[in-house]
Amino acid sequence: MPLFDVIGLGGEKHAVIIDIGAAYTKCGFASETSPRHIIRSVITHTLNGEAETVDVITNEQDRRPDELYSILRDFLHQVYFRYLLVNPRDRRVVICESVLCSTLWRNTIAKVLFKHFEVPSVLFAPHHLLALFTLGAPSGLVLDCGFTETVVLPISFYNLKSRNLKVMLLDPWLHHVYEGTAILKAVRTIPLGSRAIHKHLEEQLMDRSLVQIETGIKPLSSVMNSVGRETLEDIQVRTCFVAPKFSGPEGEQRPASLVPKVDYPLDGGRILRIEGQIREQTFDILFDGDDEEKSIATCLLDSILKCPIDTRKPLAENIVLIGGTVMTPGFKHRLLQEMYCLLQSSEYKENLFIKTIKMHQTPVSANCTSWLGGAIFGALEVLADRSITKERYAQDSNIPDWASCVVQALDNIPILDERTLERPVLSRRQTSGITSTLSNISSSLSSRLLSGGSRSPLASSLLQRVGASPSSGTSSSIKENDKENQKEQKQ
Amino acid sequence: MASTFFGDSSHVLLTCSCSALSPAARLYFCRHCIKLRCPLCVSHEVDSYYCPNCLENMPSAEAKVKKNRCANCFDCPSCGNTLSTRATAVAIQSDKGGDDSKATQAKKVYYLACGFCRWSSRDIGIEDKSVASGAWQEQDSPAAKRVNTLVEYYRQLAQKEKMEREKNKLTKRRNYMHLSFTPTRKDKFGLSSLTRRKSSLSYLTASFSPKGKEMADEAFSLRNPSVAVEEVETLPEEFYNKPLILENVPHLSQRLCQPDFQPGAIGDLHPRHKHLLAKRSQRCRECEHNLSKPEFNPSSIKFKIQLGAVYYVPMLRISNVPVLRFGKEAQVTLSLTNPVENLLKVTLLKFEQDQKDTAKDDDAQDKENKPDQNVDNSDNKTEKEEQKKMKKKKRKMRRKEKMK
Repeated sequence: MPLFDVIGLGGEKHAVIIDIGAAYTKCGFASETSPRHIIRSVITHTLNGEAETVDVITNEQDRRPDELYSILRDFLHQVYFRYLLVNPRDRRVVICESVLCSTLWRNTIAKVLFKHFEVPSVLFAPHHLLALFTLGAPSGLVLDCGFTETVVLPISFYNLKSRNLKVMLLDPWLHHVYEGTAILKAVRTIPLGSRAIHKHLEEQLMDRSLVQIETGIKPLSSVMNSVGRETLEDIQVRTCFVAPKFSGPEGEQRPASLVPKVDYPLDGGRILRIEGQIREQTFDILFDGDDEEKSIATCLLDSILKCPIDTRKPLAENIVLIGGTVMTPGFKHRLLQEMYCLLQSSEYKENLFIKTIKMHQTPVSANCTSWLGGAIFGALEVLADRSITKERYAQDSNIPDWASCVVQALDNIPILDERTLERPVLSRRQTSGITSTLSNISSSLSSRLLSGGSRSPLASSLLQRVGASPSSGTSSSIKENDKENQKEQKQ
Repeated sequence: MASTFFGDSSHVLLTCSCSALSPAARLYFCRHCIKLRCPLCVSHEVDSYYCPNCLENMPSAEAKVKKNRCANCFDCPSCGNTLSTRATAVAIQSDKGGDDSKATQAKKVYYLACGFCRWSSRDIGIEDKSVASGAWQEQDSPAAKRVNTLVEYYRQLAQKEKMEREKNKLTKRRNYMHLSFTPTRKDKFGLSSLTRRKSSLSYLTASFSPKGKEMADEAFSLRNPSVAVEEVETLPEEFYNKPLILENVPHLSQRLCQPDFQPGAIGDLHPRHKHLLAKRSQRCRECEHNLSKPEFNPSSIKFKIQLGAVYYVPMLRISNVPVLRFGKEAQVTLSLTNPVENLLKVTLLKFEQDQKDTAKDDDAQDKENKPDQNVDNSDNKTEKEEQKKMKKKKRKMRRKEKMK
């Protein structure tokens, strides 16, 4: 053991970084290169001798708050004492969260961490921004394709020409740290991810796959009613891949697949025959588009379209892909193909003039990227300033989310509206005089968010995040804004 | 029998101070607060680390350096079982002396093998080692260097931010103080920042004036930021022209066991050091006294401190249940055991349907009324527990009666 290691033993206690995903949770320590453990986001309860496994993340509406609390408590207990083996009281915590995660969930996890585990501080950091941390790039269009959904969020340094880096750094409570600020109105989500693939895969298998049992060959649907999630996941990861875009003439039947079939052993000596076509075409549902012709490629382009015109080119040339689903072989290539194809289509040809699309290669595998961003950020001294401390939580148990951040930090954010673009960028001190303007902006912002996201079913979660209803959401953000300004005036 | 004795049955549940119900065996009894505590309302702490395979204790400092992994034991990358070290002799040819005929010599070498799934370190081409332990190295993370540069870069930024903030504070208070603090940097930050700060509009103009540009350039820049590329790797041809051999593709769980690499082929799975486990101690949240503290030695199952409720709170058991019929009185025999030496007063309360909430208040009052000796107090407390239990018991009985 090197000497300096021994010397350094006593002091530094690195923060705990937890990224709770819908399928897998990544946990580890700040300033390390990879999570210590990647575990399934499930918790197993034993009730009267019967083990019951529950997903940690589901649609929160199905769950009572106290139920969610106990699930999160048990899960984090497992993370701390089975995997990380540290005392929660000693370490700061960074939670990597989705920008769309609901207020209820955030508040509950904060309650668990502060009340039950008594952690010194918690920082909620959005996935997409953390992903950029791992690149050292100031701006980018981040696509997170995970288990339940795909979320596209552009982050841009646009309009920051006028400011020195440190101005961004100084702003407390601003999650959108360093150079990047999220262009929130351009967030795009679509419920396409591994779960959609699983569903599609199961349908396909049930539809036409055959199972070889001792007695002979039978269709799968006659042998079993459903395929387990773990089996589906295994089939998806081990046998499926993303084929290049099929470019045959329109309307013509696609020729039979050349991909060799695979014999996949199910339990009980049964062998499932997976056709080449299933292996090749399962991932097509991510790219083919749903009933409204929306796919993850259109999500990216729509998101670019929503951004201010100056930022479009840099964004298209800085695409970052994160999330476990992205790691499938051929994914990037197909996505590029689809995007170039769409750029030629009538829908985008008129509006979007992008010649080149470039993609970043993340330093670690895509499923750990945002965790790594958290680990990098957690290693910085500024962590203490940006986190919500125990003391603060004791005073006010509301966790500020990006909705309030945006309002507070309006002077730093590239203004999200063409109308407001003409306004000169004001310094923090000057904003105190323009309370009314700010609240107008904030209300228009909230309503924009609401109307913008309503296309996808995720609009509901957006709604929840902003408030119970659109009206209450706007009013509350105005209030916060007022408070903020009052504080400033006092100063 | 054992479970009845230790009160781990779900028939008799005690109310913890956090108003959750649990069997007596699961509860702690804080002697200092004189309250029952359940596992949910005590704070847990990691006490000591040990390897579950070799049962060797590891000091926490060492565990931290070794990333909570045992130095000697390994997990099978394929099935997760513990690997065993196998010794074998190989013949090596040694050519001592010039023209001597080559003599073969037997040499003892070691490799790792899994007794469960037959995986061995030879499968993936790890060379045999000449020593049994210590020579097995884990690979370094491929991203380590890059991540370190990034962390370094952001640290500098953060440092700068901090510096500037402190300077700001100083300039507000004493205008010239900062000069003495940063004599070398005064050209860069001192004077210019002072003048700049005079008007808030300077933020706007900063970028247009040459000085502002200079300022912006001064920001530390990452020497090699990630560069986006237009060309991405295409799908390998082998998906189309080679049959997939399923055995060569690792499961997701096997991949995720190695977060650094997440290998896509069986041949890249490397053994990992076994993860440690921790012994935990429990502490009362209110008075911060230890409720349970295990002995240091990993193979010992004894405790230094163990304030279990079963040692302090009288044990209630249902010793005899007659045939219960609806509407008929029946005699249920309950037995009470006093685990402490002191005398115990037990009051059985009548069960009333809506008393659940009021009972709690009564308890609280009782406690206030009797600021007696410690022992007395604890007896009172236990007494109350009894009352509660009785209530519950009776309720249960009634339910049973109704059922019949």
